[in-house]
Amino acid sequence: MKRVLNLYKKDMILGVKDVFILLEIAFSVIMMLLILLVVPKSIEQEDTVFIYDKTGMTARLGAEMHEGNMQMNGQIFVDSREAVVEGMIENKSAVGLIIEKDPRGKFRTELLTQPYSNAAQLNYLEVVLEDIFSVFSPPFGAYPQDVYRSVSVIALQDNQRDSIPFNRMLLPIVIVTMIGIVGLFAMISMIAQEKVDDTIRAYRVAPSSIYAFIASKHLVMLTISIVTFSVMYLPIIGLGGYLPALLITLLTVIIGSSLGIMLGSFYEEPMASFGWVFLLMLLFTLPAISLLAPVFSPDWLKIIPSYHTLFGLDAAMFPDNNTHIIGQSILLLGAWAIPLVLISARMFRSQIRKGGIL
Amino acid sequence: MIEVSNLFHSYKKNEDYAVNDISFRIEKGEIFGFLGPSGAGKSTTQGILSGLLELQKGDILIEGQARNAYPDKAFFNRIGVGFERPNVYKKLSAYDNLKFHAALYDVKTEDPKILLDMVGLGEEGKKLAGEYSKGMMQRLGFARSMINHPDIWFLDEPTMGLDPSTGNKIKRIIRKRQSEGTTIFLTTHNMFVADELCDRVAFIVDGKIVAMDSPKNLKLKYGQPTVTIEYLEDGKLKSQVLGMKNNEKSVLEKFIAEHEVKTLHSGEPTLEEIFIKLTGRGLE
Ligand SMILES: Nc1ncnc2c1ncn2[C@@H]1O[C@H](COP(=O)(O)OP(=O)(O)O)[C@@H](O)[C@H]1O
Ligand SMILES: [Mg+2]
Repeated sequence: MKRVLNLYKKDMILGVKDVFILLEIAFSVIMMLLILLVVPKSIEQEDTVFIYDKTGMTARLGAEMHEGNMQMNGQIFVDSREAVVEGMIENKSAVGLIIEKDPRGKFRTELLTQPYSNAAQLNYLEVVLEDIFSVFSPPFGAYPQDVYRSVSVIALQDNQRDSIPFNRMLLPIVIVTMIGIVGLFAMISMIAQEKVDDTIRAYRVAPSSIYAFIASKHLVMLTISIVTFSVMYLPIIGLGGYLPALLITLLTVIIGSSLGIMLGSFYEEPMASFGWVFLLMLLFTLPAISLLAPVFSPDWLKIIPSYHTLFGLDAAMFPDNNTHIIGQSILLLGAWAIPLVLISARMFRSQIRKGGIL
Repeated sequence: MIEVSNLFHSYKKNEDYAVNDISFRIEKGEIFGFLGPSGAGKSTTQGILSGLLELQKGDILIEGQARNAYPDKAFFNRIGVGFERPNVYKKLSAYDNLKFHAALYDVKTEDPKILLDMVGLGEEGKKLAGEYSKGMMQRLGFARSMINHPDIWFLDEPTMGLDPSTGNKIKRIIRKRQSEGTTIFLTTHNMFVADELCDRVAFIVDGKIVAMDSPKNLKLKYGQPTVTIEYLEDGKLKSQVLGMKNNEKSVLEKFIAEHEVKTLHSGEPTLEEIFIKLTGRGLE
């Protein structure tokens, strides 16, 4: 431990002079200010639907809904197909809905979309329609229980998201990108520096292990991450959920650092590894789509560790009934972190030994 | 003390050997030198001995104890390694470089200040190593290699790139350490360093040892004593080198008799001349 502290002290002195670590800290301040001051609290567009209903069914529905005290936002009833299209041309984020009866008396609906229509919104609409028809239109009579359930789950998530300011929702994504990716670069850079300056060779002929060497680098990354995390988290969210969110972040940092060590064992120049870092960056930010549009959350996405970071952070920041997600994220991230730490350290040692003496 | 037999090393792990069947012995308290041109395999041999490179093939005995592919901590606690290229933390002060390195050892270490004074960096110890000249960094690395009072000391080209007076300072330190009982393995491509410092020298070229003995014996064995004659001819001072062996004496006498000789210097051959004679290659 004394060994690691000695290394840690050295690495911290070198670290705060490392360009990537400075970048990380600077960026975290900038991001914090951006999120607080520049990004709007809400970018929710009115989810406008232009409806042309030949059957009068929706009007009946609307009346019932109002009695049930449910708001019907953004629904504009028009009286021709052309009016729907015109409305959609005016409002590029709107969709259109045309309801008719076919000659046999069955409902037929047509959903008109824009090329960039929000997939979640469409999905939602489709399910709602299904639900509505099952309620109001025989042959179904009473709607099947399971259909209703599946609708309500998605609706619940949507409603919840509406209540969280958009700028704060971005924070988990910013944390993953900043701390995960810039941290990855910082780790590669710290290791590359030891190789370029050849100081690692002097270390290797001293009676101190490569594992202590690596452990110290991890500690530096953790320290820097606590700082950058707090810089962003505290002003934006406050103390609520701070500790679990920090734990989730630090586990992610360990995963990122381990990947950095692996890349660092092969590259002498941080920028030479840029291709890999870029690839990892894409991969690690991919699950953000799922966070912003919860309907898109295929199982394979959950293999990516940052998926659990994002949802874990989200659950920690905005407490609802999802506290189990926090624990689950911590477990899954831990399950990634531990083997990665061990494998990366092994890999680094064998790669360093192979490196020879030039 | 250190016994190396049939040492091979290939960076590509094939038949292309950078060190090719080398055997030698270093006695306790001896300065043993590897003299050879660049690329001969000096640093590679030192890398294997100091534990930077895997011991692929061959045996290394330290005080009779066989060593594994990589040495253990006890070994690292007793050795010091000076590198060919200066390798220090440029963003740390010289003093902090030494302090950091000292804390890596389990054994008692030297006060960084004393070491910095010793290599003439006492005044600039607080400066960042990155602000040093290359020679100063080299000296800092040299100082670092002494921090744990090593009793086995590996020095790769210890005076390379240093000005003569600094080089002499380093040589004095090496001799002093030797007198205190340190066993020293050094590599050099400089015949003067080998001649002045080493008790015994191995000539190495293409990964093989070609000759090995004390500088004096090497000269006696392979070199011819010579005479350098400076003489006047057509009003100009010219010089001529002639052998001094018995069969060459008549040539020498005839030359002296027939020319207006100004000075006569008997000379022994340099190690480089012998090196060229034995290997057909120079030291550069
Ligand atoms: N890391 C390495 N990878 C591949 N070849 C190397 C490496 N280091 C040295 N060599 C080769 O091994 C040979 C011996 O090099 P080296 O031991 O450095 O010689 P010296 O120290 O005598 O100049 C040279 O041919 C050199 O090119
Ligand atoms: Mg060399």
